[in-house]
Amino acid sequence: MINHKLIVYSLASILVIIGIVYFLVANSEYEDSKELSDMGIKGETAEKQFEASFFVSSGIVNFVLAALVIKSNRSIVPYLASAGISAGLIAIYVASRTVGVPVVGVEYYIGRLDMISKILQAVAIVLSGLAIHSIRNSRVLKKII
Amino acid sequence: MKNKSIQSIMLGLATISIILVSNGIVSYAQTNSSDITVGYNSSISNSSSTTVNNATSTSDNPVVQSIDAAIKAIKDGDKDTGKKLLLKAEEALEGKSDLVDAEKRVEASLAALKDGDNNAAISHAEEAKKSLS
Repeated sequence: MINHKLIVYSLASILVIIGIVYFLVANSEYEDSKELSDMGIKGETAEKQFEASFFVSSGIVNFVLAALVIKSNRSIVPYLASAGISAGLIAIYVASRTVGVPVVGVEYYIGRLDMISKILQAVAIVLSGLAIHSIRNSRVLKKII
Repeated sequence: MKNKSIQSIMLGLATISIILVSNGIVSYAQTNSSDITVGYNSSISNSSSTTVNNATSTSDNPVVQSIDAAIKAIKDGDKDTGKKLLLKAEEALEGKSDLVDAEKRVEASLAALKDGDNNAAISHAEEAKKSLS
């Protein structure tokens, strides 16, 4: 039986790290947009600004999820949200490297921070699943008792 | 026992966070210092890039010439010149709907260069050239 508290704190920490990674990527995109803007490359500047905004939003969402996970009192909703949002962000990333996404189109480069965030998101999905499983098990036990 | 495991996991994750943040700070500092270097050596870079341009490219297309010169500069370890030439190519490709693939490859090359992955930068630049031919 896995300790529920251990899962909660691990998941919250991973969500915080994912949030930090998104802020680092957003900062990098913002720097690029400034550079492109100085060169007068307007289309790409707008694209980079959109990406920076998206990454900042994703970072904030991850921080909020971490707080919700810690505060959740045996509710599965924060875990479902964490797993769903992490899966969604992975799906958007895969689409951006294959079929393309609106505004940005297809991106060809897979960066180090991209890989780190996707691995951490996969771990977050697994931990969310374990947390949900642990909560359901404890509910069943309570009913039996 | 359980508290100890939690503490060790938290410590590990905190270490990862610190590494990630410090990596971000280092790359930011590198970007800024390279910007200063680019500004300081701009005349030297311009003259060397022109030489590279004339020496290596066999194409009449100025974008292909820029990409060729960028590849040469990256291979020679001159990332700043490589970046400037790739940005020049990016500028020339902007807004041309039929050349979107080449533009995206140039962007990928720039991203790889920023990440310190010179081989990927060269590979994407080569793909950009292929898209233009």
